Amino acid sequence: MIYWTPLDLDQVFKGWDQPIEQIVDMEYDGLLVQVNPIGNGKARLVRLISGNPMDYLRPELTPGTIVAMN
Amino acid sequence: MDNIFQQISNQEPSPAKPPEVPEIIPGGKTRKRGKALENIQELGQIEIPTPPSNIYCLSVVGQIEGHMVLPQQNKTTKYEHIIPQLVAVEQNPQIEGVLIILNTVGGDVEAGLAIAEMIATLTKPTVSLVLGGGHSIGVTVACSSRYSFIAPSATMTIHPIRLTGLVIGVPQTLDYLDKMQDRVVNFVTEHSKCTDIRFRELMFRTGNLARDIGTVVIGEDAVKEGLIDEMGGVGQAVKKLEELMQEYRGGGKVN
Repeated sequence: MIYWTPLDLDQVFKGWDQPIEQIVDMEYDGLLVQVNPIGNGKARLVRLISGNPMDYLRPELTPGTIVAMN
Repeated sequence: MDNIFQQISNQEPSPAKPPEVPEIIPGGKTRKRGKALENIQELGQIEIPTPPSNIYCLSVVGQIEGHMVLPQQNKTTKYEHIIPQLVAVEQNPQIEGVLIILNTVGGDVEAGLAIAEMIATLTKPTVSLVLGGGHSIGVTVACSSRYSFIAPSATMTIHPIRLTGLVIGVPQTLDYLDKMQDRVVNFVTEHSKCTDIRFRELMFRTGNLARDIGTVVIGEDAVKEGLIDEMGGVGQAVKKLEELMQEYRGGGKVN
């Protein structure tokens, strides 16, 4: 992997030895998404998995959005 | 007795204000409160309906995340989300132009080049605007658009690429690194007015950066070096995009 940034690589990969976030597959509005549960029945959207490019234009499916777990 | 009851009922706390965030209900839908009605009641204002925009705004912020998921505290732009977005932009008839806002410190070369190639090959008009910083691989994304702008205070760092992981001390490693560097240099020189020699000169200049070799170009310098087309802000960028969109609609030549 080639990295090109003025940041120190120590800075970029800081925290790599920390436990990684838990990622769960879930269905959201009929679509498959990967989420990181944050408790209280909510989760942070990590990644959208869809073959329809139009789904990626939906602002509520942007990575980082808080969604309800089902 | 009746009076006491009356007093108690009078002391009842007023109903708690509903939360301002839209309530999330299972199934991925949000229950919106009647915002327009609320505005009329509380502020005496009516909400102006917002017309759908024909410009798609793509922001590339933080680090450009590639083949490796970066630790949580990093702010990243995920290429697997940007790439399908660009496909959708190309296909969606309602979108007529793309405005790319950059404030990035660079990141993965492959991911950055993938995004840059996608933007460069879109048939719809594209305008990029560098705000704050568009460093390293951000330079390729900035010059991939049809027309580019840089804010007067924005900076771009041009420096040699690095290898991560195991580096074997053999001459082939240098050859490989050189090849990887060529990919970036070729892309930049093909999509901007900066020449190959000049870009390499900026890349390998000494005495400019404290802990590295290379150059920091600020606003006007980026325009002088030919990396960026014009200095400006969001107003100029949107105006230029609208001009390009007009040409695009008229079937005229965009490039």
